[in-house]
Amino acid sequence: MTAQLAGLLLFLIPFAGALLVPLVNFFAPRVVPWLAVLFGLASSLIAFFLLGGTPAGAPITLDILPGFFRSGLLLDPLSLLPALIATWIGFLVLIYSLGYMKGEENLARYYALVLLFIGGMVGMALADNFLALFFFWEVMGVCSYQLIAFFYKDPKAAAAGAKAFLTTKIGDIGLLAAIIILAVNSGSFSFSVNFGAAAGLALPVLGLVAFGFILGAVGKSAQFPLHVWLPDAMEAPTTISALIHAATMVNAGVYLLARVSPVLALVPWSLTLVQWIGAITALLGALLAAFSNDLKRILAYSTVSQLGYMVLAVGVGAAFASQFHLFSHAIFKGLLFLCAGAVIHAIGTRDIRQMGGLYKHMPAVAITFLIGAMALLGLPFLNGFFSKDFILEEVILGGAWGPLALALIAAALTAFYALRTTFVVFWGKPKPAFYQDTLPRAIKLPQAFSLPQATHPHKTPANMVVPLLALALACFLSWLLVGPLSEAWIASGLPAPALSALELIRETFSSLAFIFSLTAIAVGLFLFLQRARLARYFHEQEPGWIRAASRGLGFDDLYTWLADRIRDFGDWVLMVWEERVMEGINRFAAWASLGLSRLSCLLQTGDVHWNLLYVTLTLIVVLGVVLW
Amino acid sequence: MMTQSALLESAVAFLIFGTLASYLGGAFFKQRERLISGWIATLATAGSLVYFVLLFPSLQAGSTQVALFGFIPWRVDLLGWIVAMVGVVLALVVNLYSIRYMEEDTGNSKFFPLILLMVLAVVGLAFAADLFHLYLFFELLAISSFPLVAFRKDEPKPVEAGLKFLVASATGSAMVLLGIALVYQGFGTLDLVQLSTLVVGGPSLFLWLPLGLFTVGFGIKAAIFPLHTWLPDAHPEAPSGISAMLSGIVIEAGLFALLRVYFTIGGPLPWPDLLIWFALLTMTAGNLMALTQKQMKRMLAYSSIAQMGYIMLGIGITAGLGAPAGAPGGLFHIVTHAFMKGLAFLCAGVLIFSVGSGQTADMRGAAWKMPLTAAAFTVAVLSLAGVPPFAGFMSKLLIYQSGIQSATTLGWVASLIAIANSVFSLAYYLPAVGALYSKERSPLVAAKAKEAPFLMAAALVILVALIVYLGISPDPVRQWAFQAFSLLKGGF
Amino acid sequence: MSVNLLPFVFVLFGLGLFCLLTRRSLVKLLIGLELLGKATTLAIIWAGVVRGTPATTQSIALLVISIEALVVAVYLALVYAFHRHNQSLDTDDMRRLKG
Repeated sequence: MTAQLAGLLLFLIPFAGALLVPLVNFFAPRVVPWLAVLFGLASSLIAFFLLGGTPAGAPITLDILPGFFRSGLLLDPLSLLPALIATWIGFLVLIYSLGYMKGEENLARYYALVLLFIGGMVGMALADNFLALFFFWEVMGVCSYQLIAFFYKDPKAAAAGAKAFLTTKIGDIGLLAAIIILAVNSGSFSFSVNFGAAAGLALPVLGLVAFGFILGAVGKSAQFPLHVWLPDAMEAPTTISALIHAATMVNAGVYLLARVSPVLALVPWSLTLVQWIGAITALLGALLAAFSNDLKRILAYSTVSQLGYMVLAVGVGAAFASQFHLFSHAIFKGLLFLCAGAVIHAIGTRDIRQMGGLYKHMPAVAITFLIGAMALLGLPFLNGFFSKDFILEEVILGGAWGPLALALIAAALTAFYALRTTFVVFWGKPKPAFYQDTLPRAIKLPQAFSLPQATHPHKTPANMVVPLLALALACFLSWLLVGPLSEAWIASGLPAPALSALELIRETFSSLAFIFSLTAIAVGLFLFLQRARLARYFHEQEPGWIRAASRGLGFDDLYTWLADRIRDFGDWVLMVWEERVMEGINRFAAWASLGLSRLSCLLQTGDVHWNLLYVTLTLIVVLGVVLW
Repeated sequence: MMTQSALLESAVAFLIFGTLASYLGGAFFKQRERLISGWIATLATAGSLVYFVLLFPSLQAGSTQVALFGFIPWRVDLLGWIVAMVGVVLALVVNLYSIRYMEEDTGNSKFFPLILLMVLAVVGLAFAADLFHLYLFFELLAISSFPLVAFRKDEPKPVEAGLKFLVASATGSAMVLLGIALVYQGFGTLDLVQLSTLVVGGPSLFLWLPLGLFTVGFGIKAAIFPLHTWLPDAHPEAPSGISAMLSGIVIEAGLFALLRVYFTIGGPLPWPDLLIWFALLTMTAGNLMALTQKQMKRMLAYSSIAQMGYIMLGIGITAGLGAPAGAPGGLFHIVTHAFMKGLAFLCAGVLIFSVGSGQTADMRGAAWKMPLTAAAFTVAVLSLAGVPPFAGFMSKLLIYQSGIQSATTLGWVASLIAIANSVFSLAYYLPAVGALYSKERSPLVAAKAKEAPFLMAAALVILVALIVYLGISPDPVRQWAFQAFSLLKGGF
Repeated sequence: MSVNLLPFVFVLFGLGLFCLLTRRSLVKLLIGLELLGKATTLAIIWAGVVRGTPATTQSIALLVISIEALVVAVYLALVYAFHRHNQSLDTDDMRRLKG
């Protein structure tokens, strides 16, 4: 199989699946989930072999739509990695969905959308031009909206879907603006042409372009300050959360930044901006994760935080490190989400204060969750450790000390919330967690918090366990792929350090970042051990910021207020426009055309003599004109 | 392989003997005159159509002189063939449709022969090689259409419409004939090809009077704006099949005759500008007047006037401003307009047939009882308004293009006016469609409406298929239109 | 030949048009149409005289006259039907269709 064909198949199979699923649903609805899994397997296998077999040298392009605009497949490691992640995590999510979504309504819609979502991500990653990229970017936007609001009868889910869609739209506008500016400048949508031509743009314009790209990535990857949609997206089925967090949506922004880094490099302040956005997001996400009690929300904020690291890496010009972390993160975050799904599936609540001691009931889930959490906090020899250290090392090399400080605080907080979540959920006493009282008093616990414990947790079905084990194994092993990854990366002309797994180990353990991150983990561990004291402190003092943190630091309130004002203003403008201007124009147009129509109908007198008079007059006029 | 003239003679013989057989068959078997007469006419049209199709390959090279049956001077070319084909195809569909549609009328043994005669006249007009025969077939067309318009002579309105049509038409014919007499006096021949050579060196001043007379005379039939007054009366009052024929091919035949004359002897005179101005006037006036119509068929009749404007515009732009797409666009629009306006009238006919009223208001909600008819009507009016992916869009597109291609102020303005008119025309098409799909049903619809019977539905489906086909892949036909004009030298 | 009949033809044609425009009876309308017809027939014949081919034009004229007869027949049939509906031949009664 040639690489072109494989790329094309990789690109088409998810879409074919998305098309076929609704059709098959007509006559064999029971087959649908398995069919979807089959499509997921096919695309993930192709992606796997494609990554191994990418020929060195120039990226491969081929015409998909000859004529209207030239579009092609760009098969280089930068683009294949997100595709690989999307298809593999997507495949595992699909398998997991077999058990998780069993008995839900509208399964055909669910599976079709999941496949479309994966296809959108693959298409976005493999696009060799901005127009196709934007198209698939929007495909993903629509899918995320649909899937987050999958339980559309729940108003919260519907609202979350709309929120995700609208928030990311802000970013999309920036992206579209950047693309249009570039396309107008170069007359082409192709990446390579535009990267060449971008240097010819004036700096302010280029700044606008860079800002547009950053805005797009910020929206899609839930970066500060547009991160607000991601926690709310928890209303989605947990499988979808895993998909969004690990495989598709949020990776797109990081991928975009890595892809357009040649353009960003042309604008001096843009990389600084990216660094700070990344660092702030990392800290903010970790902070918010530390003060959440909703299991999925913790993971969501954790994703925000980890994406911050990746963006930070892009900001210091280390696209490879960011992609490497993306890869690791996809694995451990997918694992964590699927574990969380198993937990939620089993006991029917998302509030960790009502959980505890679940290790007894679901040891496999507990162990794998622990592995995922360790990878998240960066325990040595897990994949998260290597990739995060890699990023920190690059930040140190880049000399970005401010962002580094934020990132290290975030790392400490990460260790804290990872440990806390794991122990509270799986090993804690089956009673309200320690800092229940630190919560704002307005939030009351349900009286029957022990109810989920009283009922026996569901057994975790095997097809939900298998993906967990696979991902847990990958947490240990995936960093070994650094060698082939960097080789392929260098082979296709992208900037990356030449590293083998051994060198990575040596580099990592001998670097300053190792010490920093170990310190951060230690601080986190200390915080975790001192949690009772912390809780008392927070309980007694109740500083204002903790109240704010548990409410998402007020970003939602601010945005709601802003959105209300904007909507009021929009209503007013609309009112003036509709009622005064358009209505006026409409009335006038209707009045004028009806009037003219009635007038002209008067010409049709119905009298034969008038008809003949017109004929005579026309004859005279025509003769006059012809003569003249 | 038959020779060209043999093919033509066969095609025409089918029409002539079809006319006779249809009349005699109907007259002999009075009890079943509608069925016998109708089916004979349908078969004759189909037979004729076969020979016309066979004629096609021999037209690629240009025009040839043919003496039909040894004495009728014809000149066969692709341009005429396209017009003739449109007439024959439309007549076939209309015959098929009318077999059922005319079931409540008497005198059907005259109805179908008259349709055949009409087609014969269109064919003759399309190929006539000299001015006199042009006039002859033109007059035959008129004479066969008068009785058809006034076919329901027991009602006052059709008679009135027929009279108005006749007076206007006879006046026009007289003008044409006077023009012909003057041309003969000036040049001593009526043969169009000879004339086209004579005109080049001849006294151009002498032509102004005949050309003016031709413009008005043929223009009456072509429903150019101030001369259109007979049309909104005649078309709606005729039986729906005839409305379809009148709007679909008869007025176009009038315009075609005018164009033949223009192309041959119009050379020294500024007729293209005249055509463009008339076109803009015609389409605007037609659309404006259609806006406030209460009767569906009357609205469609006004819309025919507007569509004639488009055809004239395309041809005028090519002739006057030199943009190549216009005239083929106009010719293609003749083809598509025949089908879509035919379809619209046939659908209106079905609605009237089943609802029993011509008022659009009385057809509210009919779509729920007659989905096929309503869907076909929707296709027809959307196509008329130039909405893709229907045929009307393709032909209008060529006409818009031509104005912009010409890169002159007049061309741009004309194209913009044409586009604005298309948009404006939706203002009366869409309410008609909306009325059909209205939630509440008028009492008449609730009481009587039922789906079109098989034969009528078949006619509708054929036309819908043609419209969608031409809209999606216009190319063989559009190419023929281009080819027809590229083969044209001095009118042929 | 010093005579020119063309002015006469135009006068006749104009009279016909005048008649069509002003007379409000259907029969007089017919007369107006006939005046137009006669004017053209005359023009045709005159054209033959001018061109020296009187046989051609006269045969054309005969054909035109017979066609006119056809038209008149149809016209009269319609007028007859009109009279049956309206008991009048006044064009003022012929204004049902308008607008």
